[in-house]
Amino acid sequence: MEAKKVLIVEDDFMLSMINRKYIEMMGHRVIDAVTNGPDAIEAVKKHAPDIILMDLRLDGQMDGIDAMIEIAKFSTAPAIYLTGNSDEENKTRASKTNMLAFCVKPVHFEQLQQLFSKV
Amino acid sequence: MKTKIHIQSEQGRIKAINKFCYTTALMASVYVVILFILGLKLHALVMTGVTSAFLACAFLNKKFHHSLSRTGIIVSTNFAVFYFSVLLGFKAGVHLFLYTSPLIAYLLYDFDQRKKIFIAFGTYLVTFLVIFAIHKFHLIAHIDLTEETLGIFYVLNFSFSLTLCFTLIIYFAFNNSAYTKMLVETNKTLEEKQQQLKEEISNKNKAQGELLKILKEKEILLQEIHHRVKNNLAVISGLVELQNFYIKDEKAAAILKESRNRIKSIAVLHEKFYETKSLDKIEIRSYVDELIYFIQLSFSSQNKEIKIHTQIDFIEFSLADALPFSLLLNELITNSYKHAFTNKEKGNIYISLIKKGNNVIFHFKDDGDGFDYANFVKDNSLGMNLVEAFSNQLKGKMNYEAKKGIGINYTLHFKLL
Repeated sequence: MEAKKVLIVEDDFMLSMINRKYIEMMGHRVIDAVTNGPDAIEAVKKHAPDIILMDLRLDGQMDGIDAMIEIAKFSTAPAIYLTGNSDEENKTRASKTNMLAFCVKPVHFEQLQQLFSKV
Repeated sequence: MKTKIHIQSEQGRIKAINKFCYTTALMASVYVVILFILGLKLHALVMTGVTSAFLACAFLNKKFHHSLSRTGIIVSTNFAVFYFSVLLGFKAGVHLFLYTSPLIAYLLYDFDQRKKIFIAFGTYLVTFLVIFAIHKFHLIAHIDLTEETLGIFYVLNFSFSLTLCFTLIIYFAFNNSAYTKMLVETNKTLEEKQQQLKEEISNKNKAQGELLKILKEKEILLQEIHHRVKNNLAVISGLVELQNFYIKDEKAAAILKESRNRIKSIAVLHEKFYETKSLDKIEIRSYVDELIYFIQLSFSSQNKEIKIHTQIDFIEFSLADALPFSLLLNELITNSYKHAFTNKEKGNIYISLIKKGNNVIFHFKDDGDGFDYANFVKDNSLGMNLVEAFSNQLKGKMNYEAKKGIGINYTLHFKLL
């Protein structure tokens, strides 16, 4: 499988680090790891990732779905939402964006592997 | 506020009637003196009787014979006017007292007793008509008095009746004024109380608002706690999983994987509580589905076709029940995946949760290889120890059947908290 460029958007440092390890173990490349929506938008503009690992709850006013709405204006990179807020309202909002999956934390290695194989 | 006694109250009316009795007794005593001076001793004696009758009415009133007292006043006043009008003649002006009769009737009875007012007034009217008829048709001869004496009587009667009339009017006016003042004061007090009530309601609304705000803050705090717990468990689970990649020993790796799954089952539970608005109950069906999904995923490397069949009622679990149940279910499914199908490529797991009132029947079954439960040494298996421990934590009645070749059959009856 071709190595993918992955952007991690996660406000928890430890989870960000664990996800980075998972991705690297799968043979993909983490091009950046940011903690908020505006930084995510900038990172997508700068690195043009293939996949975005997007947390729903981020630092600042903008959440992960709002950030994806902005990103969709100039990028087709899909998001794997990694979330603690898996209520129906968020699921509905997320489904209107370029979404690959909506996963509840903690996400396991096998789960990520399965999702990446779909891309 | 001091409550004033006014004529509108029965107590005030009784007082007013007493005063009227004393006033009329005083006026009658003046006639006693005049009649005595004129040498009309018999009539002076009759007038003394009238005076006594008024005093007797006041006495009856004080002794709570109010109805009798009022009748006595009507009879006495009618009699006095009739007797002396006939005795002294129309020109003496005794009949002038009858002009006070409407006020007397109104003094004796409340406006609600209109019938009695009309009857009382009617008696005075009849008396006047009789007096007028006697005079007109000279039915009874009256005492011959000089024009001068008649004039004195006329002036005296006119003055007394006018005074009585005026006194009664003033009395009513005074009472009316006092009553109006009392109403105004009462109204003012009521308005003050209304204002106080408004302030109290406003304060209560404010306090309620504060309470709602505190409640909302607590909800947010509780949500935040669930979120933090879940994130921390996610970190622990992730670190355990990462550690697993560096372990070469398969047995040790399997143990770490089981530990990771136990952590994940608790993490998902917190996620479910975080999702629900009430924060104290979760619907167990969606949780079980999620738990099955990630356990299946974690054993996907076995490449075996194991189907999990569920029949789960809509049941709401509290955190106290949900936690041991989640770990119990995790252990049972994990045990089946680990041990039940080692010699099979296909298999089935059956999970059912049936609610009967406040009781739940949890049934778990697989069609795997099974094992000889009778000779099983539990001390060697953490999984089996945990199954027993979580069953006990749910205060349930457990039944575990396992035989080699026919799989396991586990049932737990427990009561929801």
